[in-house]
Amino acid sequence: MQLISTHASPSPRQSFGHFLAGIAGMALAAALLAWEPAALATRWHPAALAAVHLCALGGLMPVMLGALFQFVPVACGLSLPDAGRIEWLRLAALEAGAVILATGFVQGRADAIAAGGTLALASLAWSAARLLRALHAQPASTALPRAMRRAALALAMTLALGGVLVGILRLGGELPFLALVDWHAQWALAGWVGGLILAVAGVVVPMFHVTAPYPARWEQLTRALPWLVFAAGAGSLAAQRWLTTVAVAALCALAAGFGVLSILRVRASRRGERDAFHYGWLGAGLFALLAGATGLAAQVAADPRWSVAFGVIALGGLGGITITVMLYRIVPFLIWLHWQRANRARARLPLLHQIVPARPQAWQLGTEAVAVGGLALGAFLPETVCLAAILLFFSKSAQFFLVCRAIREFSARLRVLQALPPRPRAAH
Amino acid sequence: MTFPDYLTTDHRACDELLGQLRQHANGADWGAARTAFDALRHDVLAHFAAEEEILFPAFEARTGMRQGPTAVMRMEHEEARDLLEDLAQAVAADDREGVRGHGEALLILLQQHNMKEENILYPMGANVAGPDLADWSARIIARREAP
Repeated sequence: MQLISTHASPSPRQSFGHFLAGIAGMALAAALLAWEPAALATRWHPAALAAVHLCALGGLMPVMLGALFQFVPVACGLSLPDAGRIEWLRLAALEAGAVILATGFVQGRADAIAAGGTLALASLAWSAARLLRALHAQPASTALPRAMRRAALALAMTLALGGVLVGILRLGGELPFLALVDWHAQWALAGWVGGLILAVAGVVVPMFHVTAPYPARWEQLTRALPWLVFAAGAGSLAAQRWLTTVAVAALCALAAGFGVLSILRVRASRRGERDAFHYGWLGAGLFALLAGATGLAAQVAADPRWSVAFGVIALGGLGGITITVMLYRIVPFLIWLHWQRANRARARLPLLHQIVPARPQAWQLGTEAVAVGGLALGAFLPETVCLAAILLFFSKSAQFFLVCRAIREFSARLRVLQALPPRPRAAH
Repeated sequence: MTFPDYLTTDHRACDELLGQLRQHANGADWGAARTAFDALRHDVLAHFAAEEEILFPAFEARTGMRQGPTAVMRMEHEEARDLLEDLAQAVAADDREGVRGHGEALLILLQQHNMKEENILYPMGANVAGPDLADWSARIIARREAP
């Protein structure tokens, strides 16, 4: 029996380190797009490939892992023991791998792509193995652990295909490279990022917005997600285009369905607040809906610009906005919780919405959403790319500053609280 | 009704009361906010009492685990009680910012707590109760609804 406590979670500082590294990774991706706005002319542009990997590997991934360190013990009752310094080494390897990989794409150097890919793969293989081991350690009696297992398996598939692609680049081979690239991207975007968002939203949206749960039938439908990703790739590898089209259309319908269901639920929230958390989840729902629409257009239309628009919306919109809105809940709450537990003196603490101030939160979230929208539009109107990328860079930099300041305040106040004498508790 | 279903429904009812409190406070309707807070405090404390006096001792007696999940749940109940005290002060002082801050902290604390109970502790409890499930449920419901 695991101890179902936040005490069973790794230290908050470890998660904070992952969050800051991830925000910096996303800012770096935005800076790259501002430096090379032509990147969004095609999904195969070297700078587009570099930006995608900076955003996904160096940006979204560390934030997702840092959040999972805290979320898995609470939501699934599974212990993820603190791996200490190894986690910091793993994070450094992931970030270095993402940067080397991106440099390799921009400079067209296969050796750098292979080196960066291998470094990132080694780092993530450790995380995926640890997560899968924890998730399989106990029977999955509820929907959440089952959904998280599916997402973790999708991560494993993403990594395996990434390894194959690196192998082809280094050693050559007769494998269908482009079909494997597509499959790698599908497992990463739909299977891992999409699957994890579906799993987490299934719990977070009803409980934290005080609204209706997703329909039971919806949870059953989402179980098809990894099979659809499998079918999409199998159809492509076997030159059965109809199978790929049907599977991708079903994946797009899932994304759009998730968007509509989430928007309806958040709009009916009885939480009693209309803040960044409220509007952020509405935005995530809208981006899911748009991801479904643009993903379908990319599959059926001959115009390759839809693929670019879809990639920006799915990765920067659905992935990025969901992560931002969750960060603004996780960071203040973790800080408050650890202060509260150290607060034996019952000293007055800052209010939750003052730890990362509510108004700058809302501004940052809003500018991020506008910037991602501008980048998606940039697939059709290239002149918007540079401005949107600059806006995204400043938005992510502002977020880095806000989170950094909160973490610094956390450490300073924690030391003070730990030094204060305890106040006797009133009897309840 | 079995206790997992009953207590889960009760979690949602408390969430609704907390939402009402925050809505009234944001609208500066302090009379309605106080009414919502009184109902919230009563229901949350009665819910905790049903768990601490009936469910947790029965679970501990049946499993022999006294320092396991029930200890964690008791600790989190204490944290929620502290927050209810903070909220009481904010409501008494017509302090909108205080209600916003303590209310959000209580919501997140209760939701992560409820997640553990609903996903782990209640299913385990129902499992170890076995044929005594109806008896456990009746005693828990009676304690929760005691005046």
